[in-house]
Amino acid sequence: MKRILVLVFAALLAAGSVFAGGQQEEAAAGNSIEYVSMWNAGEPQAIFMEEMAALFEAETGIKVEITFAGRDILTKIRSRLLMQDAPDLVDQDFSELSGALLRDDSVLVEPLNDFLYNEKGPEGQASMMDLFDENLMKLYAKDGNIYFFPYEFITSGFFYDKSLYAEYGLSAPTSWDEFISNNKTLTDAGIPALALDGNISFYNAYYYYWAVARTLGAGNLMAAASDKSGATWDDPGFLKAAEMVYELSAGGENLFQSGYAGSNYPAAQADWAMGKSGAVLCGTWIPSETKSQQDAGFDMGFFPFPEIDGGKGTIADVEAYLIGFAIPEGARNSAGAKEFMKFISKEAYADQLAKDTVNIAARKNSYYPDLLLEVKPYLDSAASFHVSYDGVMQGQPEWFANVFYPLDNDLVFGNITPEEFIAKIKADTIAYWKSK
Amino acid sequence: MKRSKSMIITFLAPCLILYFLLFLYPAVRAFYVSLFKWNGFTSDMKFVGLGNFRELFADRHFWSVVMANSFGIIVFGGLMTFTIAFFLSGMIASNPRGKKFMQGLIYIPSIINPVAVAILWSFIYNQQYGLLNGFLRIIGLGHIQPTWTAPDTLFWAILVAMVWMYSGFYFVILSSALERVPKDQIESAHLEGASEFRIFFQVKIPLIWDVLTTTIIYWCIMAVKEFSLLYAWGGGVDVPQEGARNLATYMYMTAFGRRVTIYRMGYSTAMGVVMLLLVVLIYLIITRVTKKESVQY
Repeated sequence: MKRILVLVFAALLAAGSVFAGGQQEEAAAGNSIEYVSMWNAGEPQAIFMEEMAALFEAETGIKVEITFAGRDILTKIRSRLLMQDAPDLVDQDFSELSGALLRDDSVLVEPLNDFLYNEKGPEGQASMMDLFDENLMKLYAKDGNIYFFPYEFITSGFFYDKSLYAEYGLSAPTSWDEFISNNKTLTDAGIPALALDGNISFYNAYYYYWAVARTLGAGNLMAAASDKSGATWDDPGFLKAAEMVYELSAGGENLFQSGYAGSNYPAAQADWAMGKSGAVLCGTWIPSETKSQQDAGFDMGFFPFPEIDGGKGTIADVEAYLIGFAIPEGARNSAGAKEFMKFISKEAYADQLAKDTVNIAARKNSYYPDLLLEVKPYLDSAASFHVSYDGVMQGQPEWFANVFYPLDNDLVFGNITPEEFIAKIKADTIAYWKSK
Repeated sequence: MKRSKSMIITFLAPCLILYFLLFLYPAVRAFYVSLFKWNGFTSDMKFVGLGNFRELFADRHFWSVVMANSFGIIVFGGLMTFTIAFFLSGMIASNPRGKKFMQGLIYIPSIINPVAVAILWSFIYNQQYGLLNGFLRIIGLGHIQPTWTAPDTLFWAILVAMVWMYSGFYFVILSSALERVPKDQIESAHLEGASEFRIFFQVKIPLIWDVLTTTIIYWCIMAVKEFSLLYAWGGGVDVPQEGARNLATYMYMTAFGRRVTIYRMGYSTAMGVVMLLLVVLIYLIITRVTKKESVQY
């Protein structure tokens, strides 16, 4: 009996090592790539990736082994990176990728400059870079190197119910005053002008971050977060931005739906999709996310966060929140991973991605889904790009979660005045840096 | 004798090895990691000595929010849970009709997944369509429509859900302990004219003291470590809001982030060490405070 057990154990051990070794050899030989994905099985993007993997294998003979790890992908691959057993390809939004893999103390992804500038495009373009806006690609560059390869482009702004607006003779506002006036018209008619799920701090944070981007321009929120003396907060632009947010809140004109401070995601956005409120400030994923809840004939429009008189930021400065690939350091089949990235960047597949997932493809001049057509003019006329939340979410994450979120929530819910907000955020920022 | 000693060692060895590997080693290792600045992605660890602990003790957010909430759960959650558990035990002790069914009903919330509890109570608290505000409307208090899960009340809203979830569990333990109290002692107390209130505090409680002490310790440990309900409250798509941050959720968000890419393993592990010390301290305090001769019956 004992001998049998020993034999079985030895056989299992041998089979395991042969299997594992076989997979590694296959990857090293270029016959397969291992791709750990941020999507969950069954999501439109996951289905798209599976289809791409099958087509890629048929064309190149390289098998793409996909693991759908979900949004916590970076947590899930962390131990593998630590054990130097990196997958060949991972994806996530660039903010999270850079926050985790492109830190000041360690760069854990391969630079892609050579691939982007020296590799021909899938339709014979001079380089892969020709497929993208170079300014966009450089948003997350570090020390002159580009590390991430996008396939999906997200920006944020107001998505509104066009039928509702038309019913009250309203159109997309072009200024802050017009925006307030539109919202008041709706609330006076008993319709919540704005929908907000207050339990999601990063949705609440959109308001103040965008307001600062309009009053002072991009880069200033990051500067204030990083200023250990707190003096940056004395700039009147920050107070002006707080006043803009407060004006919308329950402490001001009360333009959100009733009980928004305690609204649990996705209650408010679902109500909005069912025609119960005017607009929602969200990323371009909202049309796709609310698709199943939208009433028949729901007509969705888009306008960017309005400009303010005397503000330094304009609507030509567009937020870019990119989703795409990175090749971890130590990937066994980095060449295969690059080939796959090039493959799915083909014009037809970029269009398919946009169509299937109701999102915007990162590749220039790609197809726009109907629900996102109104975003296109703003992107086409973009003079500059900035990263979401002004880069604070990944640049100063602890400050963002522990100092900014609580005070910003209070401001958005109208619990503190703009003056109190500035005084507290300045004091808390100083205390935060003092504790480091 | 020699033979029996080796037998004892042989039988204890597997447990001791497992205890060493799965508890002692990780605990010592955690303390070691807490002395480093480390993001967890590479083996590059920078020794900072007690720097993480120094930072933790100077971290205003940690004390004013995280620890305040953790102690709030222990104290207020404990008071509510044990009051309800005792009240329900008293009701059941009077042998009402359908006793078994009622016992089952009271226990059910304890076996529901905390994620489902979070979703259920989010619906109950919904300001516009929720059960609670609907009830207020029915009884003519439609003008009072609180936002139960707003930041200033979120902690209490979650605490109520937590108490609902755990009361049944403590009810089962306390109820079975109370049922063991000899009836003749209660009857003689009755005959001597003692009120129900006096019987409860001067007869029943002393007789179940050992069980009560154990359940209080268990509650405190559970309260310090509570994670699922608090984390699930926001749907897990964002870091928990202030009212949902206790030691466990704060540790998680500091180590793993959630969109917010903090990734401070060393600092987070220092919190884990504090958590361990806190549990030990609570245990020592409770056992010392509640120490009294056990009553045999």
